[in-house]
Amino acid sequence: VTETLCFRFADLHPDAPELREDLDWLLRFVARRFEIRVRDELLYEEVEFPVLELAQVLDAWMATDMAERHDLEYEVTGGENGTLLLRSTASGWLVDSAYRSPTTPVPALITDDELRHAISSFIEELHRETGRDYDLDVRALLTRVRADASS
Amino acid sequence: VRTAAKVADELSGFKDARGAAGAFAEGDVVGGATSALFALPGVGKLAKGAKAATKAAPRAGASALEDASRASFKAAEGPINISRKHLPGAGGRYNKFAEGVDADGVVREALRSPNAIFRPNPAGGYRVDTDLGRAIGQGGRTSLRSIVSPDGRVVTAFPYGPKTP
Repeated sequence: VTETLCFRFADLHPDAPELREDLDWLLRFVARRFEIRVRDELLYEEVEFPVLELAQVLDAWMATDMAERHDLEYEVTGGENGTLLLRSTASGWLVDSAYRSPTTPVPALITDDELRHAISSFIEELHRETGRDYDLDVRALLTRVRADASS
Repeated sequence: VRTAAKVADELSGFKDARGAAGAFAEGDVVGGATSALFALPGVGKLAKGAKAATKAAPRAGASALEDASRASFKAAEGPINISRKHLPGAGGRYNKFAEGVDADGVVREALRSPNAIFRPNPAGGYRVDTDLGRAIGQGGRTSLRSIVSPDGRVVTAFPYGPKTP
């Protein structure tokens, strides 16, 4: 089954000798390979990608009320701007990246439900893998970071 | 050349005792004696321990700048642990240090610099941006961004800012 929007990662590992606090996990826990696909078209790919940072940004973004939810422009820490762009249109969400290959067509719009499902699946998969291999509770981490940001 | 004072004015922020600027929400006042204390290199010896600093509620205005400045000085004394993805020759599109640059030395210099500019990092800790005035990154980048934890550790650091000819 082809997912409308899919965040794929492989080979999670720490990128620092020690991950002590939530901030270390967010910035120094990476996937050796990461990609974003829309309807199976490759939109973005990167190595050594901090997947928990992106998960935290998406989690916080989804937690805001729909009426107050602005377009999202995510820039991976240490990289260039435009890693992931989520733009609201009258007909749905445009998911794009400044790194989209010129040969890849502009992605088709996706619905709010499809976007929500993709983000939830991404976080769920991270939660499962990090819980199994690193004894890290990703959902608890995201909740803590969100709470700290709003306090 | 933008001085720290000018940057502070532009950001409606504050300066610490070494002259470094910060952009934090207003609402707090710094005392002269306290301010002078943060100029000392031995700020890590202050009574406020690392664990307490980590759990402390973020403060606004000049007090937040003091916290950031203190964390920055302390981080300059500890391990740096640059990610390999920011080193020359590494894969990926990440900003990278220029060939021949002592990355650890550059980070320590930037964290102690009076040109450092402090901002809160959205996911916690502080962003410390320092223009070192010479190319330290590929593409001729002259600035360094360090993400420093509240308890004074470098979480990550990399060349930052516009590419220059």
